Amino acid sequence: MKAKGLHLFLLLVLFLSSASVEAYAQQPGGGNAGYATSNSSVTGFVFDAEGEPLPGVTVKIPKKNVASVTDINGAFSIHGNSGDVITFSYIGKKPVELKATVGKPMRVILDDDTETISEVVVTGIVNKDKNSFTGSASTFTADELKMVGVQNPIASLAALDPAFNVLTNELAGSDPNHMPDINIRGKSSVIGERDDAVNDPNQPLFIVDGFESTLEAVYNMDVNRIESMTILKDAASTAIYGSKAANGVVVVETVKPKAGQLRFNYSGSVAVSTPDLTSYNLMDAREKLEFERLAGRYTPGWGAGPNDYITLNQKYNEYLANVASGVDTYWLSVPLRTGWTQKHDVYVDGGSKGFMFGIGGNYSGTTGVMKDSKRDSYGGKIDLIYRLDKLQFSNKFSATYTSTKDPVVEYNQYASANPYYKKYDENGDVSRWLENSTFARAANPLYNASLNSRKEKSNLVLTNYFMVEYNPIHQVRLRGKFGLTHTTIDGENFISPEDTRFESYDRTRKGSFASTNEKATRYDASFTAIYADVFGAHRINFAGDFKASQNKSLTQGYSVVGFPEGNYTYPSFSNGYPEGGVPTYYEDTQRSTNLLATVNYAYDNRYLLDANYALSGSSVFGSTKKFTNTWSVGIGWNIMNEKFFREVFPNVSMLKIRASIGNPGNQGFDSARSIITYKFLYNSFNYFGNSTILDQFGNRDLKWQTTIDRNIGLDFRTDRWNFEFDYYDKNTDPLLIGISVPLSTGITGLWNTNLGIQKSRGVLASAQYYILRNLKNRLTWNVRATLRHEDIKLDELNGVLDDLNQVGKNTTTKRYFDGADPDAIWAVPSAGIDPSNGKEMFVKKDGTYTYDYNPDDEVIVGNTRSKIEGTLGTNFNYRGLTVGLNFTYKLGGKAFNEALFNKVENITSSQMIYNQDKRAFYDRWQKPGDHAQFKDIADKVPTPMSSRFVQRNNVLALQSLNVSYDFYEFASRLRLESLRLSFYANDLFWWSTIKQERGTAYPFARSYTLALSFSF
Amino acid sequence: MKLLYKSITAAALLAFGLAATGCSDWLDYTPKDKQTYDEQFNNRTGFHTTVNGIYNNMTGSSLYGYNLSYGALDIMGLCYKIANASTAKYELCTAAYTSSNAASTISSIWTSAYNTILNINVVLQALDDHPGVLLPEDEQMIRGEMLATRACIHLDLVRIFGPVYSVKPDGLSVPYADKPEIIKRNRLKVDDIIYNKIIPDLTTAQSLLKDVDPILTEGVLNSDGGDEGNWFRYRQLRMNYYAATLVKARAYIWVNDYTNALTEAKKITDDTYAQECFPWVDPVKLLANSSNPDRIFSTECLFGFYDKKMSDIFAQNFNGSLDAAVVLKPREGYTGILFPNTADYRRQSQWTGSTSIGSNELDFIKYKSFTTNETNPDFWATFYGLMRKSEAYYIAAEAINGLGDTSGACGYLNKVKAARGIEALETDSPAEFLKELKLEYLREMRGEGQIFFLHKHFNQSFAAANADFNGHEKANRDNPAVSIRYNVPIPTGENY
Repeated sequence: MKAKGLHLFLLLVLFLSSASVEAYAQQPGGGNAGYATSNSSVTGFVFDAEGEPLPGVTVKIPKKNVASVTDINGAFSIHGNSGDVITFSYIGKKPVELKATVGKPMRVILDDDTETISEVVVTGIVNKDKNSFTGSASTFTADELKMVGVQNPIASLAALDPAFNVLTNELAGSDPNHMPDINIRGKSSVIGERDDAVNDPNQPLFIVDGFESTLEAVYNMDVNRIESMTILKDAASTAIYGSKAANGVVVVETVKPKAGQLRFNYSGSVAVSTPDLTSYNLMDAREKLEFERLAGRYTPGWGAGPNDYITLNQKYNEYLANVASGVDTYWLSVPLRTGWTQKHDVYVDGGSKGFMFGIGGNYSGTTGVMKDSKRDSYGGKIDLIYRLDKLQFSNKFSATYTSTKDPVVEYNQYASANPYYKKYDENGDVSRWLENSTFARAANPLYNASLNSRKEKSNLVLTNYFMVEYNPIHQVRLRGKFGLTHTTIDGENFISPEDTRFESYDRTRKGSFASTNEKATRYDASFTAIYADVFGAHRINFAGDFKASQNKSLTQGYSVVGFPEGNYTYPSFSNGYPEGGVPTYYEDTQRSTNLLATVNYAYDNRYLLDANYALSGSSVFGSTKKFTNTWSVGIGWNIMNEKFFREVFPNVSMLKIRASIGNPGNQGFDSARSIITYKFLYNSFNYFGNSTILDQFGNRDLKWQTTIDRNIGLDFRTDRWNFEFDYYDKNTDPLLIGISVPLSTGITGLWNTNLGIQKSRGVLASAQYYILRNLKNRLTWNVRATLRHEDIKLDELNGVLDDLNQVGKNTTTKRYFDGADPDAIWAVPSAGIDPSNGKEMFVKKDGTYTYDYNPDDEVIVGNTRSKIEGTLGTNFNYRGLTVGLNFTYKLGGKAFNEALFNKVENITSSQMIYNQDKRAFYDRWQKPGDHAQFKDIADKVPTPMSSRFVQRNNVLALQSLNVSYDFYEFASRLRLESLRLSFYANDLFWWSTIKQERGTAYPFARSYTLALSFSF
Repeated sequence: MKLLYKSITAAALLAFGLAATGCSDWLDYTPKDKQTYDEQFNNRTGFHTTVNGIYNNMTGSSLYGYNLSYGALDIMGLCYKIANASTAKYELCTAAYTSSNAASTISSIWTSAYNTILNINVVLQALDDHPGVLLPEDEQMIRGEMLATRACIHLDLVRIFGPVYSVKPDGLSVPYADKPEIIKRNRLKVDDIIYNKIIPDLTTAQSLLKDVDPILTEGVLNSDGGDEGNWFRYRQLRMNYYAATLVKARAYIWVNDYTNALTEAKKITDDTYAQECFPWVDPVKLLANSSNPDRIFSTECLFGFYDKKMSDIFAQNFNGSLDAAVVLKPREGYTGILFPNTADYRRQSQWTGSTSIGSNELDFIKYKSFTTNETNPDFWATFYGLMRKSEAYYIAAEAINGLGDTSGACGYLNKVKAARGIEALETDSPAEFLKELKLEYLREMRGEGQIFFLHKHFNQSFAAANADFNGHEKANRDNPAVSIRYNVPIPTGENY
């Protein structure tokens, strides 16, 4: 059945393409019958300086008031006679005027203007003309990315596009070795929580130079090596990637070598980063001790004898003496330092039109704000392009080696240390314990950090992308691609035997070493056939593409225990494997295929149509569901090209309305979830020999998670205004989630299944306005704003998750019901603290007040998703000077304040040995009549989750400030082609209505960068 | 030239078309580091290791290796005096089933049982998915054993989690999982699950095994098969025809279906071949033997499991010199009531004088190890019995009594008593008969999990006045409400 469908599809492809070639073959001789007879047709091709076809060029005969636009192959056709003056104009290119010739295709070359704005939507398979494209996509050039910063391209992209969302990681802060969590247009998997073994189910697909890549590879890229980045957002634009596209696609094109004389490009930067501790609000030594006294740490409990009074008193006096002698350790700053980052990138390119090359190398070294945190990255690349008549070969090879080092002791261990402890003992040595008594036992984080424990990782990525392209005729391009990526990751984690965590271990078991090694090899092969042509007012662009890829990874690891004290940190010094320890060996192979047909049609450059169909196969899902269909249709109307409109609004260069629908799929799931596997029982050998038992009972009927994605958009542009608006409606059905199933199924743990649907609706808008635009004096000033709003609802869960909801009462704020928002915060409403007794009062469903907490009274008290969020920015240019500011904002969301819940209240006796939030001391109820926000300071009864801890989470942050200067005249005096000096300040301030600790495992940092780039 | 272009285009499109259609097989990828379903069942060995894995899974401590034998079930059946509070043992003994330790034990019984059943269902599915991999008689034997095992585990769950049948015959028992499908299954009523699920499975198993089970032609075969291998041997370690028959008798007697229970029990008690197959233990070899006594009466066992570390059971649980908090000992006076006649072979071989401090009760040595021949160990040195033929006599006796013939019932009971060297019971009083029947169960089945089922079957109360079970109540501070002890709550993880 499937095979039959395939054959039919192929026949269609063949028929269409041969028919089209036929049509072309007739065209030059016969012209276009049925079109205006008074005019002949002037045809030709437009190229850029490098000889690449230039689509989207406006072709006009002003005298006759007729216009056309070049297609993807740079071809145009316009009605005119020989001798008519034709103008060719294209943003970023110098306009050209030529006299028309009829009968022979014209060849027109447009040279670069100084400033280039891309008018092509780079999709990684077939480039689409922005003017006739009906999908929602945005492209950013290198200069736009660099305007925000040179840290990494991901951060820059987030500041530019409202759809591209980098989630703030409150845990990992500014850890240079932590990959960000990102999504495009919100999450498509809500309940699927991320874990390390599985890819983030909401992560978009990354395409680098037409090949599938990874977030880490893009994150590691030097911004200077990027030509453009494109975000494909809706179904019409992502459907070409079939089953992998539901989360959106990020397409990266790297710099290609340019023909000409040997050119040397350098860019480098130095950055300083300083920790940002403003979100911390911890007690000092005096406050902490007094808090402990008030909280009753030194008051004996029931049945205490006189000796207990004495011991507790002694303890209190001991600490008090410490405080009195001036001990007030500011632990937060102890593991921190000023971080430095330096980046250098060199690229040499040149060559003739037939042969071009580029060789580059880059180094990036970061020392994080936490001591022992480091990231070094070395990269090299060789790009070659060879053109022979109608054939073009190109090869890109790159190698990246990254080595990272992470602190062994997490930041929160310092943050939780009590300030009345000394860092050093009397002799000035780092003591092992801050206190080690029956009363309290607290390890000195500084001691554990001072040992020779280490946590290191190295990562080598080799990629080679080869491409051959054949242009038999201008209308047809055939392209073959082959890509190979090899990744090796080695990790070592050694924990010294002297670490306090091994205190109670047997001498022969102290210390541990764990090693992991991951090797992954990825092959990609694809073949693309593109046909593009113009017949009078009809423009068609058709492409067929077949891709196959295999990604094979092997992870191995082992751990050993028992190390001698001293500098013996390698596994050969260990005592042996942990008891029952088995080496890990995990193999994962994913194969996928994608067969695609995509067509873009425009009538008179006014009425636009895009259609895509993809048949995707994957080994990831069950053997019964190998293939899935993906399709999309988009329509658009270029109102600006309508005569009636152009006459009234001649200044509007773009006004397009577009709509699309499609069903991109999502396959970011582990292949093992859909198979049944067995394991050996090694310890039960009997008369019958070996025995095996089910290891994993995978769901063989697991279905692809597919999304019906609808999009309506509007693009508007004048020389001052640039406005884009998108409304989308994403319906994910079915969701793929892990649920608990009845134990009588034989399954313990989570069972992966398809359940429920998720409906998201959202609005994305971005606007840019030039307050000043004086190109003559090279003076421009613009402001821009972006906005995102989203609504999410779950449906058709049919109560399957009710038990999860039940279990979640008083432990989480999330509930999953039909028709409910999964991001809503559920909690029992609180009426505040009763001033007479310091107890919390709750509001019951009937509106009455009670002291008794009943989880059944819970209601929705807010939503963690902001009502609107986005970015604000401005750029000022005057001659060579550029000043830019980028802000991010969030409005209307709420958050459950964990700091209030865990560090102001709910401080149990055992948590007294940790430092706590100042508000636990200042803002808790102490005596009758206190109007306090927090309950009785002496009350150790656990506080339940109530609306009291849910706060507004409005945020305004200055993400980047940039000042740069292009030395035009000075550069030419130095015989340089270009010279630019930039200064960036990133994450300068972060202001929020919620006072909550951020960066608990690693603090956030502000960074200041000085960057220099030149070429000659 | 145009023709050339056209043909290049067409050829290229054709090539990629072929590549596209050939990819279906390419997408069938099976990981090498894992044993997948299809690889497991495309060969004979795979089936055998899987079936063996299922039997081994049943012998784990969460099922018959502890919980459903001398552990949880015997504790719930008040076989032991448990003193230490806030342990699983104490909570089970006092029927505090919702306390955390007891709840986790009960949950592990439920979870492991259904996980084993899932394993069984996958094998049954695999027999259908991969026909012809096994020899026909092998396939038939595996199918029969697996169906009977599935029914057996379900029946034990019914007897634990279901209602007391005589009190609440229409109460809910447990779900019956008969396919490897991950779906929510409802709890079935006792009659429903027994007559519509358990009995049909057992009937099918019997008819499948009837033709192929070597036990019916060659006996238990508990010796090494040499080059031929052991797959068709050691039938006492497999759910053989007679084991399936006893499970069927157990199922019928649970719902007081005396006629059918008797029919099944008689297939063991009144069958001469079965008598030869499972001969009564020889007192001559047993009583005077100190080198390798067969204390568990292995020849009489219809089914049991292989336990390489049998010796640990005594050493870690019943050895009187163990710490009082650990040792499993009967309450004071218990064995005195049980064995008025100390010449009872069971009293002589399975109990011994106390070695404990502060307790005069006897030590239970049924599972005590003996010096075993290293090169050719005795079968019973590593054999843990779970079903014995005496139970068939007890079921037959109970059934006949239930059908009105008490003295006829005594006849069946006396067959066992005679084999144990104790005096026969002659009575027309059903009460007197039942009292002795229960005592017989207590003497015979200790360590095999059946005692809890016995008490539950008869809805036995443990009032202090009950002389037969003197001392149970006070020693355990048991809740007098009988229903609490017998209504074991199903684990919270099931309530979806």
